[in-house]
Amino acid sequence: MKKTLLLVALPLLLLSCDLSNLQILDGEKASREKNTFVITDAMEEPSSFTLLITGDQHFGRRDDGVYYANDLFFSWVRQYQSQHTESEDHLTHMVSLGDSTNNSRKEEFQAYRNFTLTLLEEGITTYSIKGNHDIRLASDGIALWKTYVDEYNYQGFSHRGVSFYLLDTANRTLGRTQMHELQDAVKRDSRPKLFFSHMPLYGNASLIYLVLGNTQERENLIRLMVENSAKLFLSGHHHQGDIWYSFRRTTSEFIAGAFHGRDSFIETTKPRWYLLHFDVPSNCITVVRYQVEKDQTVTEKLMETFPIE
Amino acid sequence: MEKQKSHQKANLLILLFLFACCQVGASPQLFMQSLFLNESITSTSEYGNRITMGFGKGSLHTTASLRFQYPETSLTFHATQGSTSSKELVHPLFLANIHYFSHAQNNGSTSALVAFGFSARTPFPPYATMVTTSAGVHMNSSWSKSHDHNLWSFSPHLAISCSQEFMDLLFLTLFITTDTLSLHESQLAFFYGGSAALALSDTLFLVVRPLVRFSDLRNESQFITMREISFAICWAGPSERATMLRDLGVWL
Repeated sequence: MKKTLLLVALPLLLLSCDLSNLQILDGEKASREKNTFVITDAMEEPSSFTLLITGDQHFGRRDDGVYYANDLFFSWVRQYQSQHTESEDHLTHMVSLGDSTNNSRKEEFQAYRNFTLTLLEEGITTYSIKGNHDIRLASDGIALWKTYVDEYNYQGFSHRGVSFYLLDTANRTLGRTQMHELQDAVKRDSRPKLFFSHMPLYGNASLIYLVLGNTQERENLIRLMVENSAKLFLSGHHHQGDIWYSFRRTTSEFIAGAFHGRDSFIETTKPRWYLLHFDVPSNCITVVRYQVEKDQTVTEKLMETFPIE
Repeated sequence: MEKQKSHQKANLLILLFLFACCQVGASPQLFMQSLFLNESITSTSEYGNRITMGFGKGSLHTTASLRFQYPETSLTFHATQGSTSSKELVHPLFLANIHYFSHAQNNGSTSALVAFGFSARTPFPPYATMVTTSAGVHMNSSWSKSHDHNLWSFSPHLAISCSQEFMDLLFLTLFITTDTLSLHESQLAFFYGGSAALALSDTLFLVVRPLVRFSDLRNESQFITMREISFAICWAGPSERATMLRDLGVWL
């Protein structure tokens, strides 16, 4: 009798478990009306351009040793813009690699908004992607993002014949919905492509806890890039950054360092930003790092050059 | 279509390999057939099944497990060196595990795990309690036709499980572990769950195993869960009964 009761009760009890906890793993569509990755601009031949890249600004961060060099950054931008007036060198776009805020607070989003408006005065339009610090549950980060940063969580756009795909990896996963929309858009797009994400893909074996959490999702992204002329995957999150990894000769990843600096026992980083040169005549992409040193000088360092095929 | 064919071919080879293992080794002392319902980001099917065969010789116990969840297949060989004799209260364990995972789109991973542990059993039949712990290292190498070099990772392995026996009829286990045979997306993930094994006869068991993967995806202690529930029929010969009860949940 006992055995029969247990036989009936156990499966009933366990079958009643709800297996629908996939809100984050499924993810939300960025727009109900359309696939925001699909680029509808007219096709054009790729031409050279220079792109400004920053990430991990963490506006509002007050941890031990955190400091900012925003004034130096803006004076560097003004000087660069005045010295580079040719269209392939002049900066018109910046991509921010996520963690614009430290705790998704309203005043932090406002500070980031002011940061992008100052860049706009220099003729630079900012495209932002979400980081894990921009969607903190304690605050209303998701709504504030829409108010102060961008209407969409993820999107694609083209610039000078090259496609830019801005991914939402703030949850350390794209989720099924975003991945399907990305695959659909990328497979229909014949332009050379650049992918931007907060979370790195791989980097190296020691970054296991700082990269996309699902190894098969990572594999699906690499495969999508390799098979569809995606040249480079740019990411942040790892504040030390400056890590380069080539999956193939033509498909690589670069992890950028943080925009803010920190001088503490836990973390030592100097404020950094980067220029990406997409050079059509020499058929290569070059990433150059600009770093604020302790003596307040800005040093320049070539990080990597790799071919576009 | 061609990829699907090669995938089916690989599966057939794995099955033949398992069959060959069966023939050249000792007769299986354990057989387990599971069906599971699983939340996964990357599988196109929510359902899958797992077949496990176990062999025992002295204090060495091995299992070969084949898992299908389209488009993913994995094969795991697991070995435990350690006594399950009820005469000893505490005994050491050595675990080794080789896991081969393949995806229909020509990628996969090979991983190896080595760990040491202890198992302790209270001498109060028919209400004996067994606690098993293990700690070790997990190495993983992902291969693909999309990248020129394998992508390596190293992570710690930790597991603890506690089993309670009730009148030789019902066996309940609770466990927490960093690695299981089921879900491959295991970076910074812990799995917790339990299993209930109901003895239908001296050798036949009905096993239900709910499993939850919880992971700190954002690195800020905001855990995200993903669940699996499996139902299994398990046959364990007299010599493997204690092994089965020790490994249920984490490794079976």
